[in-house]
Order: sequence, then structure tokens, then C-alpha cells
Amino acid sequence: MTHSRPLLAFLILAVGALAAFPIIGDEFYQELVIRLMIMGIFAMSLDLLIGFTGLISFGHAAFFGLSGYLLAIVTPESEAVSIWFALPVCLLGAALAALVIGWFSVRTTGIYFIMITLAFAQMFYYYFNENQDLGGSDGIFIFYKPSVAIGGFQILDLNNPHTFYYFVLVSLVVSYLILSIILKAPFGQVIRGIHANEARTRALGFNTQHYKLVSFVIAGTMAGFAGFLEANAGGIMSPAHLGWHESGTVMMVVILGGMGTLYGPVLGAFAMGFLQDYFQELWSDHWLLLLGVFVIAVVLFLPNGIAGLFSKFTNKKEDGK
Amino acid sequence: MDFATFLIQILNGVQYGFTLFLVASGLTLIFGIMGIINLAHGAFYMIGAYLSFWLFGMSNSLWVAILVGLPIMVIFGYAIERLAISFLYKRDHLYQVLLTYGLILILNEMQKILWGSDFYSVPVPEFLSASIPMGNQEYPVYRLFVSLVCMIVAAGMYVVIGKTKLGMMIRAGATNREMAQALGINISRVFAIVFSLGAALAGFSGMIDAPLSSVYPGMGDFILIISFVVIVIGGIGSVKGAFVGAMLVGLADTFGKVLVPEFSSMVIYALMALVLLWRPQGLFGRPS
Amino acid sequence: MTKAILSTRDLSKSFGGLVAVDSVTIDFMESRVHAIIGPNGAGKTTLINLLSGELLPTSGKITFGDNDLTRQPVHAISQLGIGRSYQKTNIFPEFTCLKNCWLGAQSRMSTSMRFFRPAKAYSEVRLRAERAIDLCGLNDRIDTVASAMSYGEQRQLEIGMMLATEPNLLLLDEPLAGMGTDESQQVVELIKRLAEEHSVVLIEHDMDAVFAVADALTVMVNGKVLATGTPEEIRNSQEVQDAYLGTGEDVA
Repeated sequence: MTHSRPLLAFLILAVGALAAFPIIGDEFYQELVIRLMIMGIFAMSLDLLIGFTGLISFGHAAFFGLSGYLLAIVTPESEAVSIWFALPVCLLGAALAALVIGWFSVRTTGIYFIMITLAFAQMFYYYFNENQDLGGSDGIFIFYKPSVAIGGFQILDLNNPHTFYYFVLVSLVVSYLILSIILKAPFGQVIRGIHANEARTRALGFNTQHYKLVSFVIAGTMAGFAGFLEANAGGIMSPAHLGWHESGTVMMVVILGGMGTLYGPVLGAFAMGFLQDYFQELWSDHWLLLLGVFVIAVVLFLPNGIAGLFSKFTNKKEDGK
Repeated sequence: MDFATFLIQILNGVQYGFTLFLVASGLTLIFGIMGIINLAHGAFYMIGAYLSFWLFGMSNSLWVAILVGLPIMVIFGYAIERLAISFLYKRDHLYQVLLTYGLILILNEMQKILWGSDFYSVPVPEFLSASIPMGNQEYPVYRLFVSLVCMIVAAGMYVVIGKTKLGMMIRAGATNREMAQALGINISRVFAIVFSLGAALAGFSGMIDAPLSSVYPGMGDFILIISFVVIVIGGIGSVKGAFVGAMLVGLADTFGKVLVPEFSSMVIYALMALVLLWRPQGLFGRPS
Repeated sequence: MTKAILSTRDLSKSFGGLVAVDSVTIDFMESRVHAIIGPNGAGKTTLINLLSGELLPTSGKITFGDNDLTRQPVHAISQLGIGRSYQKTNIFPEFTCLKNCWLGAQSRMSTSMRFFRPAKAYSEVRLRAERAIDLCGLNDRIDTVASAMSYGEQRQLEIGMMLATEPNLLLLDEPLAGMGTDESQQVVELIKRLAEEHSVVLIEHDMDAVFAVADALTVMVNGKVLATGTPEEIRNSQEVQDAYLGTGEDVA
């Protein structure tokens, strides 16, 4: 994707604002922003599927939650685990799950794909929900954030809120850059082609199944990375993290922000975060009802999301395609 | 497993299968004919169950509850179709998923506002409350009754879809929408009818199921996802597929709980994966 | 004497009870333009779909040089050097002209599973795409979004996308469909130019165009081959006259 100039300026400003936030914001909001940035990574990874490959995955939370659970499993009760061990385990676990689920799913299209991804994700949900060794429906705690050390020398202390904040911010920026690079590369051209017209892409000589599967695995792995961060940030993983409401929420975040833009889903994460906060203040018992009405309103009136508004105002259509 | 236990599991599995069929058949028809993926379909099942609880509380009779509840479900389905679903016919599946997801959030919260978060139960009608002895165990008559009623409903659907004018319009709409319209079939009316009847079927399933399972928040979400598995196995748009899929899932789930209790929740998904390996379009689906 | 580049043997395809292609045996010769004509519903497009792998035959065999194509998937057939264009315009409407051809050009790299270097930096892909655009005559539209182009230009792009894959054999499904006289003339000229370096299988209803470019003709009726021969032979065949040329609006 080629960035128009106002967009690039906006992105740099936004990252600058996020970097400056801990200096001015209080600790409560700092925690909130951490969670929203993690949601941003999670939503970007789904955007690769929905917005760029055209795969409507309704089970994306499976990889997010699975990875978080893996961190909980490899973290001992009384000490920290090394990040050099924990992170690869989490990412490989998510990637492997995405490979297996993707292998079944990409052979189908349309409604089938939606239902199959949802069904497999629910399978994980029920597994963790019923597994009492992993805390069942209550979930499982992660008492220590992983240690980041080389040869006994500590590089980062993730338990320091400031350090962790910047760790997540850098993760967000790096995730964005990785996806941007992939989308510019030959692989990105093919998946955009699949999104626009899969039959024709196949007729031009591409085994589209392979490309869809690889896209699914990349997205699943990145969702796993977000899940790893989430487990760190929250200190607890529960089945709800891989339930279908989580998948529905992240899909909503992608649409609200504007699919097919990468930065849109990050905007969406922040918009959704503040909106949920607002709804909860408005009607704490039944705020989900307000959210439901809002979701329907977005589908009917703002299908291209916030990024769609943005490009309408700057009147610069993305020429990345 | 002795013979009586085996027989009871078979009966349970078939009865669960019938319940699933009533929900899944509506879903699959709505997919097949209208091209709509309706996540809120499970909520109809939940609403049916709450209606039967609520109306039972007022009338003290399950029959009155069902008789009054069914028309409410039809009207409710019709209203949802007109007010929300009809905006989605030309939209991408993605927006259908999101809008109907929004509907679920609304309907689930409405349920909580009206009836709270408690678990309720509806008693089995007096004259069906007996049990039949089987070996050293007993089997409740009401379960047999539910299976019987579902069988009659399934047969009724078969007749309506296969033999009546409405059925002909439904089949025409499923095969070729443009052609059906060219032949003078009012497709948007067919859609409204199919959707309302689908909602009523799911609601009915929830009503007669209420005395068997308890009535609780989120019961619609659970049945929705199992119904997806049923449809994926049976093939989208095929009522026959929904029937076979529902029976397979009902039996697999029931026997899974007995034979491999620690993996019982995974059994039906493994079944789904197996079917997909063999036939990605489902047992009775048309290859894409 | 040229040899056959593509051959079908008793190729059949039925949909339920309907036999759309009925034991078709044809040899398409190398470096020739071989046209398939016949009334609507004769099974011409079904035949092309079988050749390009978009449909699986019910029975029979397809060979391309030494390769058995019969059960090959679409993308593998493309990779073997068979390109096709569609009767109903089948492009990427929201991509620019260049991007439309880019994908075809990129598919000739050993793999597109490349994740780091920008696609733009692959100059050989760009050259291939630009050559295809040049060939189909869309040089001045290279950065135009396809959906903003005229119908005739989209038809040209349709051919350009196929050319970007640098095929040896072209399967052209009614390249003139829906075109005006001038545009048709341009495309006929393009086909003539392409015929110099490619083997071509052409389905077309426009008989003037067919007789202007074809070296060989096959007439299909009701899924069967009625006759195969040179344009001269077909023109003079009583059988063809009776069955087809004399009856309808498609008179030569």
C-alpha cells in the first residue's frame, strides 16, 4: 500500500502521541491504552484476512486465546519464564493451529468458511472451558511476565509498567510494518488478486488455496502474538478470550476502523475501546444492548468505517491496489 | 454398555437430533433460499424457550404456551426480516454476519432485561410425565413425545416443500432467484415467509425443549453453533442434509458423552472435520 | 507438416442428463488459428472450460504436448503455457490496467511466496506486464483503473492479462463479444498479430472475423463435432450448410 502524504503525517503523529502518552496520562489510562494497542495488533491481523485476502474468518479469537493459554501453561507458578522460550512456543502453537484449521477451511468459500472457522474456534473454547487443569471456565493466571535477558543480564523489565507500555507500542509499530511489507511484496499482490477475483487469479496460474492458507497462518500467528501480549497485560487467560464474542468483537473493530487499510483496525480498536467505556457508563447493566444497536448502525451507515470517512475527507483514494 | 443403556442413548441421540433439525432446517433454508447467514437464528430458539416459560407461568399449560407462542414467533420473525434482514440481501456475507451479530447482542440483552439472568425450568405436562422402564433404568415419556412431534413436523415440512405451491416457490427461489422472479414469483414475499417460518420452527424447538433442558441466558448461542456444525456436515441449503447432519451430530454427541467423556465436547467437531475431509461441500451439498 | 499442440479424445461433459460436450475429438495444430463455431448451446464454451481446467470432463482425454491435462487444476494448466480469455469480461475491476496484467506476469516467477522485497522491484515482471499491455494496445491507459475504461478497452485488457502469462497456446472465448465494428476490427488485427507467435483456439460468432483469421475450423452442433476442415472445406460442406450456416442469423 502506498501511503498518501496526509495519511503518513497522521500515522507519524499518532505514534508520536502514543509514545508521549505515559508522560502525561495517568496509570489507569496507560493500562487501557496498552489493551487497545493489543486489540489493534489483533485487529490488524484479522484485516489481513478480511480486508486483503477476502477470507471472512469468524474464529480468529482461537489463535489469540490459544497463544495466551500457552503462555500460562509454560509459565511456572513461582518464577518467570524466559521470553526466548515462551514467545516461540506461543507463536508456533498459534501458527500450527492456524495451519490445521486453515487447511480445512480454505478449501471452502463463502458461508461455509465463516461457519467452519467459527465451529473450530468453538471447539477450542469448549476444550479450555471444560479442562479443569487449566482453570475451566474461570481461566488461569499468569503470575509472572516473561523475563527478557541475555546470559543472565536483564535487558527489559516487563513488570515495569512504562517498559511494558513501550514494549507493546513497539510491537504495534513492528506488526504494522511487517504487514505493510508483506502486502507490498509479490505475495501481497496475489492475495489482493484473490480478494478481487479469485477465479481469475487461479486462471492466471496461481494455486490460490496455498496463498489463502499462508495468509491464514500469518494472520493466525500475529493474532497469537497479540494473545501473548494480552496474557502478559491481563495476567489471566479465560475461555472467553477464545470464544465467539471475542471473534465478533475483533471483526467489529476491523469494520468500524475500515477494513483493507491496516491502520483502520487500529483506529477501530481505540474507537471501540472508548465507546465501550462510554456505553458502560451510560447503562452499566445492559450496555451490550447499546453496542448491538451501534453495530447495526455501522453496518447500515458506515460500511467503510472510520478510515473510509478519512479518505472521503482528504479525498485521496488509496492507489495501492 | 448393556442393551438398555444403548437403547436409551440411541433414543436420546435421536431426540437431540430432532431438536437440532428444527433449528438447523430453518437456518439452512434461509442460507439456501435467501443467501443470508443469520447468526440470530439461535436467539429464536432461546426466545421460544423463554416464551414457553413465561406463557406457562400465566396459563399453567404448556399447550396454551405453545399455541400462543407460535404466532408470536411468526410475527417476531416477520418483523426482524422486514426491519433488519431485508437490508442485507445485496450485501456481502461479512455485513450479514455483523448485523445479525448485533441482533444477537440486542436480543440477549432484551432477554436479560425481561427475564433476568436466572435459570428457569418448565414442568413436563402431567399426562406425559411418566417413564417407561427399560432394563434397570427408566426413559421419560416426554422425550419420546418430543421425538414424535418433531417427526410429524419434519414430515409436514417434507410435504409442504415437496408438494405445495408455496414449496414450489421456495424451491424455485432456491434454484434460481432471477428466474423465479421472471416467472412472476414475488420473491421478497417468499423470503419473508421462509424467514418467519424458520424463526417459528426454531422457536417451537425451544418451546418443546424447555421442559427437558432448563431455560437460561445464552442457550441460543450454544444451539446456533451446533446447528452450524449440522449444516456444514449436511451441506448448505439441503433440508435432507440438515436432517442427516442433525441425526449424526445428535448421536455422536450423546454417545461421545458416554464413551469418551473427557473429549465429549470435541467429538462433533472431529466428526465435522472428517466429513469435510471427505466432502468439502457437505454430505448433500452441491459442489461449488 | 505441423504437429498437434493440443488434442482431445472422445471428450465428454454432461450436467445431470444434459450432454453439453459429446465425444469430441479434435487436434489443434501448432502455430495455427483453429476456430470453433456453432449455434448457441452447441457446447463451445463448455469445451473451452474443459480445455482450461475450469470444468472436469465426464469422460475422455486431453493432451497438451506430452502432458495429460485431463485432471489438471486450472492453475497448473496455466503454468504449462495455456492462457485463456473469457466471453464475459473477467478482470480485476478495481485494479489499474498495469496491476491487472501484473498478476499474470508475476505468475511466471518460480513462486510468488515472496514476502519481503516489494513487488515493484521485480523488473522482469514489470517488463512482461508492460509488453502485454503494449501488445493489446492499452499503452495510454496503463494507469487507468479498469472499471473506468470503456467496454472495448476492458475486452482488450482481458486479452492483455492472458498475454502477460506468456502462454504458447491461447484459448479465446468470443473475444469480439459485444464490440462495435471498429473495435472488432482492432481485435481481429490483434489476433492476426498474435497468431504469428502463438497457437490459438478461437470461439467466435462473427463469421467474417472467423474466416478472416482461421486456418482451421470445427463446427459443433449439440455438443458434437459436425465437421473439421479448412475454411474452404467448411464453406463448401453441404452438411454444414444444412445444419448450421444456412439456417440462422450467423450466416457467413
